[in-house]
Amino acid sequence: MECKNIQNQFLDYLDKSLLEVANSKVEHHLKSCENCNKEFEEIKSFDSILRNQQNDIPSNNLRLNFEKMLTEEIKENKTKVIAMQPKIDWKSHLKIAASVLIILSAFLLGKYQSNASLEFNNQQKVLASLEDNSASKRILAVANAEEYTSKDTKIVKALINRLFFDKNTNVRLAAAEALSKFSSETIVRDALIKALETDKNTSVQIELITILSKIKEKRAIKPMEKMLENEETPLYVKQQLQLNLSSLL
Amino acid sequence: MKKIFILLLFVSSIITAQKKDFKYSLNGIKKVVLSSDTTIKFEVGTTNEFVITNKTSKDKNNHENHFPHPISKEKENKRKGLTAVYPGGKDDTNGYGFSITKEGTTLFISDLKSHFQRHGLNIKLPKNMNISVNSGNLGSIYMEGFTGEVEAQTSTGKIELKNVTGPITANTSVGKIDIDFDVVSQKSPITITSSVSEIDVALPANTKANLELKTQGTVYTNFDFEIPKKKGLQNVSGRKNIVSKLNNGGVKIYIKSSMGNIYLRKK
Repeated sequence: MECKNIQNQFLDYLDKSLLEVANSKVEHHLKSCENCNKEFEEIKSFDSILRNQQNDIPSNNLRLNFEKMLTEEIKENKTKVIAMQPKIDWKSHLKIAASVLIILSAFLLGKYQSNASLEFNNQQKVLASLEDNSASKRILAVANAEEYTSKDTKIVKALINRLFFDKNTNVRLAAAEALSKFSSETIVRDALIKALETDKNTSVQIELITILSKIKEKRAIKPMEKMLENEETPLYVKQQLQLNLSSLL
Repeated sequence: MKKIFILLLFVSSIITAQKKDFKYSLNGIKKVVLSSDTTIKFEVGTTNEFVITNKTSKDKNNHENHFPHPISKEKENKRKGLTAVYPGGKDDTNGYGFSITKEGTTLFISDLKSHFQRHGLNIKLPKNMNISVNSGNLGSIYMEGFTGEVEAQTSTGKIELKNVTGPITANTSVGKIDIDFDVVSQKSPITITSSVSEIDVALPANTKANLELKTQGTVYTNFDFEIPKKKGLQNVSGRKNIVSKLNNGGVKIYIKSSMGNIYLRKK
């Protein structure tokens, strides 16, 4: 029992970390107990081996190699490093650009369409007000219709309609005047000649006579001569006829 | 006693024989279109009614009343049980000889009697009513104090509009046109045209308008026109337009007389 206790203290004894009492006890025991002495010698030799074993100091090469490897490793891993600033992603940019384009095109399309429909609306408005109950409004509409180009046959036809069928003389007069601006169109010329043959109102007749001679419409000569021969034609209309026929012939 | 009774009977028969004014309510009506072949005088009435006042019985001395037709007892007996039929339509006015039709807010009134039997009409309408009137071949049109839109058309008759505001659309072939504006409405264009006759228009001095005057006659005015000077080719057609703005421009006033003079007066 004693030996076992002493043997447990051998390592501390070798380290010289034992208390003085314990130390002398061990020394004392070692002198008396051969068995323990043997054991002690073994431990002592083992300990001395351990103590004499030099620590392996890694060579400088190792450090160098390590650092080399580290830099290489860092280099290799660098592609995987996520940068603080996200990389430019062309796809998302394209998406944004596309959406902006779509919105813009939709807007432009809408704008163009509304422009077109606005013009259409205006045209409809003019066409509608050409049928207005009030003569003054119809005259206003005729004046507005003048602004449309000759290509707009719908408007021209509506004006011709006014020239033939409007009950109010002043509207017919205004229509005749407006139509004289589209005199390059054959339907307009035909209409003006036809109106001269049919309209009973002298104001309109005189207007038509002057317009037809102004646009040098030779086909109007016949109906004009016919009117000259007609006894019912008032004298002042005949004066106009003579005046304008001379310039046409 | 018997004498008194006979006298009373006589008086009452005279009263009943004298036709009363014809009235027609204008509820919901915005425009009255009247056509006749006689001279028509329009006055502003106090009620919202179309009223024909019987002129022949009231002012017999009127110079336009050339052929008075007092309805004699004999004639009345002859007509008993018969109704008058006209080529122009049905008489809707209980013997007055007018046909009246309503289309939406427009009332069409046409005189069924010829100018031989009709000697002038006196008509009362509300002040702001829109009026369209055609007085046929011989009739003239007189009007005073209306603020609605007026359309007037005559052939040989005169058109005389006083204290009106427009919009006015007037046309005549031979008759004179005389229009006196109180104010000029800026709503829609004023168009006054004539073939031969002179046109006389009076406008308030502060009228804003885009004037266009067209005539082969002469224009007389006391307004200051700024007539743009034409450069280059002269107008050869013999037609001359005067285009000018009054007080920086406004509603379009178009006055055209093919051969007559135009008088434009500043009030």
